[in-house]
Amino acid sequence: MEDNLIVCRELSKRFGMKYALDHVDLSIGRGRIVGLLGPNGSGKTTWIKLLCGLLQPSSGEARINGLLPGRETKAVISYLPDRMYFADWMVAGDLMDYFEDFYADFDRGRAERMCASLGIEKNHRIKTMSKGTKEKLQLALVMSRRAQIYLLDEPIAGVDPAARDFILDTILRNYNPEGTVIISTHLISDVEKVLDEVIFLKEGKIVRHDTVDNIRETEGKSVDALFREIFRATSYFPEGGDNAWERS
Amino acid sequence: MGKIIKYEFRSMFRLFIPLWLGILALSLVNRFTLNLQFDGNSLTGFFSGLVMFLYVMGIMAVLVVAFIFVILRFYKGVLKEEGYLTMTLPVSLDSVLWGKAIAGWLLMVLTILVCIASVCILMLGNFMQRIMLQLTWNRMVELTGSAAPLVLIVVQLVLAALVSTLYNILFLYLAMAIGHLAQKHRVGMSVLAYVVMSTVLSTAYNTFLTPVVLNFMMGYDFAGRTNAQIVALASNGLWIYLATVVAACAVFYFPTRYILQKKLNLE
Amino acid sequence: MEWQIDDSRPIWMQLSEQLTRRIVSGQYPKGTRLPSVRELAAEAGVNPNTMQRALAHLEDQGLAVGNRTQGRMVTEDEEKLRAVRLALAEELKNTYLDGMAVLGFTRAEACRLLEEGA
Repeated sequence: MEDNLIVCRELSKRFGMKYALDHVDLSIGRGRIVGLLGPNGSGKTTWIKLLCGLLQPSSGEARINGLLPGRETKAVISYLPDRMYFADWMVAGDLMDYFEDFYADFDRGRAERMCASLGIEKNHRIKTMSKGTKEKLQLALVMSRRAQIYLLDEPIAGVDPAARDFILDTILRNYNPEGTVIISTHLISDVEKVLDEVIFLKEGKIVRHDTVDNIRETEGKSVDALFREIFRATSYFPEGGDNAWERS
Repeated sequence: MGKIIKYEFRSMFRLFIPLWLGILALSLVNRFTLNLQFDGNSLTGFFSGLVMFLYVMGIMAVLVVAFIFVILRFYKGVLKEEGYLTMTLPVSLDSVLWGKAIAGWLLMVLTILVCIASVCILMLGNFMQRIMLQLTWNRMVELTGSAAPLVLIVVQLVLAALVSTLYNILFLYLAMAIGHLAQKHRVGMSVLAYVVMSTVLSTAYNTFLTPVVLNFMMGYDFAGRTNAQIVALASNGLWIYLATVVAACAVFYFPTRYILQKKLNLE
Repeated sequence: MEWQIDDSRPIWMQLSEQLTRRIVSGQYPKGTRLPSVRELAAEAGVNPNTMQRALAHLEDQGLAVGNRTQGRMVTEDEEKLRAVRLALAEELKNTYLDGMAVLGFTRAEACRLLEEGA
C-alpha cells in the first residue's frame, strides 16, 4: 500500500489556451479531512473531475493508491458532484439498488437509516422531491459508501445554515475513518473546524497546503482570515485600485 | 455490463410495456372494426376508418418514441447530469457503451416485433389471408426449385434488419459524441454531425457499395439465368451488405469510445 | 455546556480546555467512560483527528486514562482533579485581579469588593 493516497505530479488541465489547473504537485495522506479552498474558477472542480476520471489531464498525472484514474480507482472514490445526477425515472429504492449493484462498499442499511431520518420512503419518486431533499438524498448515498476517498464538490454552497449543519454532521458521522474526505468550498469559516488540512487554490495553482493547527499556530489567525488575506488581491474591481476615487 | 443493461431495462420497461400493450390492444379493436367496415353503413365505415387512422398513427408514434428514447438514454445518461454518475461507476467504458447500445437495440427490436405482431393480429385474422400467405410461399419455392435458398434469404433479411438497427444506434452515438466536442450548442452540433455524416455516407454507399452489391446480385445480366441462380446471387449481395454494416458499426464505435475516454467534458 | 471555538488559537487546544472544564465540573464524572472520539467530534462539529489530539492532551495531563478495551475513562485520581481545579481557579483569579488593576483598584480593594459582592 502506498503511503500517500493521492499524488499529483505536474498535473495540468488546459481549456483552450487557459490553464484551469497549472502544474500542480500535491500529496494527500490517509484518514484526513482536507479542505480544497479557493474562489470560484480557481480550479477546484477541475481537480476533482481529474481525480474521478471525468476529465483527462493535458499533462502530468494524478495517481490514487499509485494508480491512474480508471475502473479500480472509481471503485474506491465516492464522488458528490456540484449538481444532481439522478435519472428522473427512478424512485429512491431504485437508486439504492443502483448503488448496491455497482459499489461493493455501499452500506445499504446505513443509507436506509439516513433516508428514514430524512423522511424519504423507498417508493418516493425523485422527480417530485424538493431540491433540498434531493441534495440530502445524494449526500446520504455518497456517505453510505465505505470509500477510501470522498470527493465532495461544494456540498454546502447555497444552502441555509440548518442544512449546512446537517450536511457537515452527516459527513462527520458517516465517513469511513480510514478514508480521506476532500471538501471543496469557498465558504471557509463554515468548514474550518472539521478540517485537518487545507489546500488553497488560486488561478489553478496551489498557493498554500498546510494543516489547520499549523496555520493557527504560526499565523495566529483562523484559516478563514488567512484566506481573505491571500485572496484579497483577487479584486472585484478589475480596472485597478480597490476604490473608485484612486483612479479619478 | 449486465448491470448497466439491467437498469436500462428498468427505465424502459416502465414506459414501454404499457405502450406495447396499448398497440396490441388497438390492433385487436381494429380487427373487430375492420369486419364491420363491409356492412355498407357509412357511419360505421367512418368510425372504423377513424380507428384505423389512430392505429397507424399509434404504431408510428411508438416507433418514434422508441427512437427518441434511445437517443435520450445516451444523451442524458452519458453526456448530461446523469453522466456524473454513469461515468464515475467502477465499470469499463466499453460496458457502459455496449450496455446502453444493446439495451437500446433490444428496445427497438422488441418495439418493431410488437408492431409486426400487431399487424399480424390485424391481417392474419381470417383464414383466407393465412391461406394466401401459404400459397405465395409455396409458389416461390416452386419457382426456385427448393426451399433452402429462400429460407437463407429470409434469415439474411432478418439479420440485416437486426444489424441495421444496431448500426443506426451506433451512428447516433457517434453524432452525439462529436457534438460533445463543441464548447457550446452541443445539441445543434450533434444534429449537424448527424446530417453531414449521413450525407457523406449515403453518397459513399451510392458511389461504391450499391454497384458492387448490384453486380453481385444481378451480374447486370438477368436473362439466361435460372431462378435458382438469381436467388443465389441475391443472397451473395446480402452477405456483402451485412459485412459492410458490421464493419461500419466498428467504424462508428471506436471514435465514440475515444471521444468519451479522452475528451469527455461534462458541463 | 455548548462547544465554543474562536478564531485565534489552534482548535485542539480549545477543545482540550473545554473537555477539562467538563471533567472538573462533573459533567463527565470521575471514573466514568468518556464518549468516543467520533461521538465527541460529531457533537462539537469538529474533525475527529483534532478531537483525538485534544483527548491525547488530556491523557498527558493525567485527566483521562486510555483503556484499549473500554475506551477512555475519566481519571479517578481525586488529587489530580483537585490540582487541575485549583489551577483553573488560579487562572480565573489572576484574570480578575489583572482586570481590576487596569481599572485602578489595588489588590486589597479588589478582594474587598469581591467579598462584598458575595
